[in-house]
Amino acid sequence: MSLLSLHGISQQFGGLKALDDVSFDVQPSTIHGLIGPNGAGKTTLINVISGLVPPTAGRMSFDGHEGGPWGITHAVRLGIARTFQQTRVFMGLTVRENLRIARVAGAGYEASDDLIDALGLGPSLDQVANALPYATLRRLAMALALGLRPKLLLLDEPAVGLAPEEITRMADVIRHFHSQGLTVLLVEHNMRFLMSLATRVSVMERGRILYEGTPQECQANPQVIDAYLGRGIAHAAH
Amino acid sequence: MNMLRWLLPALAVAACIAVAPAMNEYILYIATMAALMCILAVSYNVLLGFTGYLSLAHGFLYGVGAYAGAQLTTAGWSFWLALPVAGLVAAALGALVALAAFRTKGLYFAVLTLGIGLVGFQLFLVLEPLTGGVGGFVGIPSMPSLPGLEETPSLNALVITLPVLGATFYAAMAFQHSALGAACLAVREDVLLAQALGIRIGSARLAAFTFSAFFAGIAGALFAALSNFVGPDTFAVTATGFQVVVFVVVGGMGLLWGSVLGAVALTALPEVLRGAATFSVLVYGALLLAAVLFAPQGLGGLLLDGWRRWRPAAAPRLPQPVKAK
Repeated sequence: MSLLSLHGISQQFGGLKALDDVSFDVQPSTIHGLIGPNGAGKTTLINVISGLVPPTAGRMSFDGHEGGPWGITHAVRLGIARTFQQTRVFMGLTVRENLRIARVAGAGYEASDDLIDALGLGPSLDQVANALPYATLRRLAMALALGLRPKLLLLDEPAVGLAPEEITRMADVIRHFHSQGLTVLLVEHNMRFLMSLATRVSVMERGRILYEGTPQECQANPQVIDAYLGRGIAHAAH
Repeated sequence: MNMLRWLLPALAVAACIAVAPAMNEYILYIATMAALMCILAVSYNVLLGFTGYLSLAHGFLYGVGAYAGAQLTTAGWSFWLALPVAGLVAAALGALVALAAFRTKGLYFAVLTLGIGLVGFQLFLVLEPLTGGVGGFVGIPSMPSLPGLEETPSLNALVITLPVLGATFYAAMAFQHSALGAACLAVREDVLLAQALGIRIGSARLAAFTFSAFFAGIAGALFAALSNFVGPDTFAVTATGFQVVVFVVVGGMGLLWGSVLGAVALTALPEVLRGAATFSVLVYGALLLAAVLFAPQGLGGLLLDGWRRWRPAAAPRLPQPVKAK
């Protein structure tokens, strides 16, 4: 049974159809990639699933619960957490204070040593977020979401702006929590990063799902290559 | 350190009570008014400092508590019962104000609460049977005498007001360290992220506003019993409504003890400057301007900064300036 099912999700902003009858499933304990050119509707879809924006049409089920998409607070209660494309943490607070808020929001779950260690935040606990390096901020943003103990983590371009060694570290972090049973829906433009992690990939174009398959199938599909990957990138991601 | 933080307010209140008998009538009155303003400032800091929302309706809620306390004690209620009930009346009204005001944000929130403050002032004027109208509410019973203080009403008033300030401070500390306090902090720092973490931002803001209104009401009831008279002018937006904002901004938004410093300093300052006669308002204004320009984190921030320079390892972190919404 799917953890997340989307049926006919559409989102209209005035005359612009950002999402057009989007349907797909995310299986439990998988890393599901979501790719597509800029403006394809990936972030809008993440916003809809996380409850930040209600869709114009469509329905969603999650972990046996029907009747979604829900409002953002309810979605978190059900086990859906997200990060943002542009790093969002509580900039004026220390890492410890950030984690305390996540703990309170996560119904009293104490940010475990495992979480702090896995994300390498131990040495920065008493530092104010706005003094942290960018890579640490990205990991803190992920810690806030993981502190909610989600069943599904929506990651919106977690590798953007990171140096190669930090991208490797980010991939290790995702693998670490995935190995503990976490399901991830991963939006990313870095194909090498995404293809090395995802077990299934959905490709979006102009608000629609263009293709869905394994990373290998996607990279070999002429439609996907034409619409997004291009010959060079498809080859490089192998 | 943590233990000391919780002990200090009680020690400070005990120290003030211990030295109070040495004060003359005039100093006792100023000290009681300062303690009263501290209650108001601490309560307001829970809203402005913890959530970042700038309300200009706090003077109105202070007035609601004052008139409620005046009505109840005049009707024969015990002062000790009238005090929390006046707080509850202000809290109930505060919750209604919050429900309306939080439908807006940013500048509109401040403007809407300004409107509520202005309407509230008019209500104090026209609801004559309840408030006494322009002439005010006269003949309000004084605070009950504590054993041994029957002959010294001014000392009695201070000895009653200080523990109420202590209780307000502890309640605000408990709020700050509660789940609601953390939620308010999240709302203050980043509303969208707070939502994404599943924080019920509406509940957090409502709780802060209602908490704030409750203790403003308590301060109002204390003021009524202290003055034996309540007139509408005291609660105008341009009077207490604005004054309390200044207390918190000058003291330090988000720093509870900073708001105490701000309230004490700004209540005492006009008295200190009394000798400067016509220049007193000018000096007061200049000091205010200097505080805002050169100490954006308030007097509390200045002190913390000094402490950090002196003992970097022992000093608590200087909080980031609060961005008022």
